[in-house]
Amino acid sequence: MTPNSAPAKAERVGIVLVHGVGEQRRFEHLDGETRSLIAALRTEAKHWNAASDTDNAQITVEIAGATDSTFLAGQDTWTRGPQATVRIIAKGFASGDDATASSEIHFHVHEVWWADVNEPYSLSKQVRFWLWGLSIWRYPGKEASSLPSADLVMPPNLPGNSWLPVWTRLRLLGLGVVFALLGFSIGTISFLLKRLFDLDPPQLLQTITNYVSGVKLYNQRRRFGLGLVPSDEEFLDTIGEPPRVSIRRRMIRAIAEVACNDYDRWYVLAHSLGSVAAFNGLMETSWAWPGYLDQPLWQKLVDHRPPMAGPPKSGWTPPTGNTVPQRPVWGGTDIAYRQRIFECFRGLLTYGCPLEKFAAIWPARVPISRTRAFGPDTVWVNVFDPVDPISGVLKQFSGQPPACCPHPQNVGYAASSVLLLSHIRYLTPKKPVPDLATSVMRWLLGGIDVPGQGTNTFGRYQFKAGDRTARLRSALAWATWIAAFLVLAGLGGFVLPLVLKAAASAGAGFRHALSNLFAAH
Amino acid sequence: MMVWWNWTLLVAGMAIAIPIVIGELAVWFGLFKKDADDIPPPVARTAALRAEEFEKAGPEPDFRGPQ
Repeated sequence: MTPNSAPAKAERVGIVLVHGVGEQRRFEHLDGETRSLIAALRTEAKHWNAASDTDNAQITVEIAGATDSTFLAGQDTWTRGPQATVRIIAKGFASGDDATASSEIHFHVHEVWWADVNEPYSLSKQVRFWLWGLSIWRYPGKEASSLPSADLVMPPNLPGNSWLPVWTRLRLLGLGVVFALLGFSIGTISFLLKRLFDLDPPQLLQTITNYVSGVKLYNQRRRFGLGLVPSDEEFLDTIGEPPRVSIRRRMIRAIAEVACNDYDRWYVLAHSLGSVAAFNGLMETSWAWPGYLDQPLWQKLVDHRPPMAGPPKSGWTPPTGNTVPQRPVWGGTDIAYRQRIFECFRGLLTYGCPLEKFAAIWPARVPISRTRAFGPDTVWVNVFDPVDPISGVLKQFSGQPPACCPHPQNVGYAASSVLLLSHIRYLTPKKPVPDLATSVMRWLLGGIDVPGQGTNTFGRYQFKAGDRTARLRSALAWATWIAAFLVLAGLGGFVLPLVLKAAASAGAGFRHALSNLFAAH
Repeated sequence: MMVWWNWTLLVAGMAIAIPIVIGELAVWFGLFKKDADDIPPPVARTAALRAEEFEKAGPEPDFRGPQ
């Protein structure tokens, strides 16, 4: 039996996991997040069996291996697309009114991996990154697009608060200040430890550069390669186009594959910057779709019954001019049928999501589709934690009809009380349950409310935007930032005089050597 | 001889000043100008469209009918 086939009774559920900024290796994100979901499912099975005094609820996990492997590989090779990488078989979990004890749900887990689009680490990347990081608060906005078919999308709306971009820029200035402090303190200490004592301290700045440069990458026009004076190094299928096109291509490819797999329902779970990639993929126009796919996958959409791609409706005039990405030569005037592609799409879960910040400064990077594609049972749940500076309450995505883009349901979640750690702890299992992973798993099992709503809340970890817990966590975040500022400034105050003194001694020695040299002649 | 907290104040001041100066210089030299464009925001950006105004018929045949 192939991983995508199933007994007649089984309900097939697709899960698309999208990673955020970082240095993730292939399947690393899938491995981590699926591990959390499996743990939640196991806990749920225990509760289920204890409540029914049976052992009906069971789980089996399968990894779809590839038929090829790398010579002298250190790890086994997993498959990726069109079929799922991991299949989780959940048996005996009731799902909906017609469920029986022997019913099966098969979760087919796909990963959208785009970390390799990030530029290779180099000195020039460091220089560009620091220049960007220190000046990001003045980075130009991107309000609208002039590309053909741009009238089919609309930037998110400011909710009657024109101060939002200013406030967002001020916070980015704060980020620049922290970057500068990191350079003065941790950066200098790391440099000295390495140069003077030949020690190998943790590459904190390199890690930060590689992590945060993912955000920078999303606004760049070009992808640069190695070298002090780097040349353009886009992927071959994206030459002359911004690197975000490559990221979106991964997302749209995954959507096409999942749609072709004919799951009974499917979901997208997107973390951090991955939520921007996921949102872009979900909102991309029918006209631009062919530019992201290769011909065989496009043909699969065309050949699907009913077709998910084909000619536009009669009387529609295709836009003139180049799109980004360029439409393929084999595309003709064909378009994607998004209504059919998203017919079984049931939900988007974003966590640690920076979409609100993008919408404030670069709204044209996160446009909302103006054409209908989503059914009334498609939901968008956005999980945020005020301690996580990247996440936020989404307020700018609720002015459109839900058929164009479902309105986000914002749910607060205490991911962690430690700054930055909170960004990567959303799906980490917690005790007591229910935590977010449990709530998400219950939602994916079906027949229950979306995470954070009705009977599917996450108890003590849950709060609403603006309530007392949210305000307290916001205060905690600000207090931590201020403490971090003071500690880093104190470290810098300790290091700077030492560096200046060492520089003065080195300068004096150099002058002395020079004067001796000239005196000798 | 400056004491430690004076150095700390100096570092804190520089950390605040450096992003401001570099940010302004970046704008002055138009460093990131190519990453944006000068297209003005659509009216909807500042004045919310009603739902029925927002929706636009695309190239796609209507497979679902009215909702």
